[in-house]
Amino acid sequence: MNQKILLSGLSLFMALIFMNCASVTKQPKRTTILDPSQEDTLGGTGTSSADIRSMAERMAREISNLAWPENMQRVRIALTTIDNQTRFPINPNVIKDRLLTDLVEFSMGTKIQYTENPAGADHFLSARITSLSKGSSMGVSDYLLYSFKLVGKDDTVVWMKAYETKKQGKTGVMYR
Amino acid sequence: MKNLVVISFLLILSSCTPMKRAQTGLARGIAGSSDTRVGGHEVYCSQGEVCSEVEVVAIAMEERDGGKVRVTLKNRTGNTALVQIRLEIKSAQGELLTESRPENFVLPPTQEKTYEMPGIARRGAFVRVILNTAY
Repeated sequence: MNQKILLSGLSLFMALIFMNCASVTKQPKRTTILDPSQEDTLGGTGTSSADIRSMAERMAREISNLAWPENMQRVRIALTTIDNQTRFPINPNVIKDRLLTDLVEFSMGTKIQYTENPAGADHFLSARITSLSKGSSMGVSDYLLYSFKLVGKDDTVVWMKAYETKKQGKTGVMYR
Repeated sequence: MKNLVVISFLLILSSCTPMKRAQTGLARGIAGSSDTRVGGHEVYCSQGEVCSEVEVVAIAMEERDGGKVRVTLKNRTGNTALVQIRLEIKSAQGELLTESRPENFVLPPTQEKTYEMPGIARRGAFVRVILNTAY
């Protein structure tokens, strides 16, 4: 009888151990909080938060380290348009704001200043997103090209850089 | 019986941390994080599997402030590999000078490819490459 009680107690104890232990890897089922550089499990072949963070950092680091003529006291760059020519409805301000934040951070202590007002600027930074999309009953594939361009007042392209992604997946993911 | 319940309750309270440590320690032992050195720079893999499938072949840093860092990786498998790469730039004393955000990097099967980060190099510093699984 005593052995039976001991065994039941032990089973209960083991069960409680596994049930009671909290874990940082367990999140409430309704919402999962992710790192913005992490891919979600929903998928999708368009722009992800990880893409925006990566491209903004790359472009900002490039621009903030450009060599400017010695006689230029300061360089005023205006962020103009981000032209989305893809099938994905992306709010261009997500890219613009992330980019401006990084540009300001990485250009601290340099002669570059940023503005959103083109009046008074001597250089203009713009971007265009274009894509090549394929689809079949098997799924979809999207190649996205983000081209960033810095143009002087005389329309000369001073700097240009691209960021590319190619993703393949199933249909059914909606971008809003 | 009453004593058994009390003892069980106390054990539960005290056993979660050591039990979890044993579980994660076992998992780490199997997956195995690793620290290696490549050309005077450091490579850290959160899971040994990442570095067994993707090898850091070379790390190069321009010896000037604001220069580029290039990390050449080789996919040792026959499948497309996706890794999350992050760079830390440290002074000779080990102080963190600057770091990049984690970035997903794709390597075609069996191929070697160079990951390049502009504007991050610091004179006299060394690079710590951190490789993780991307999801």
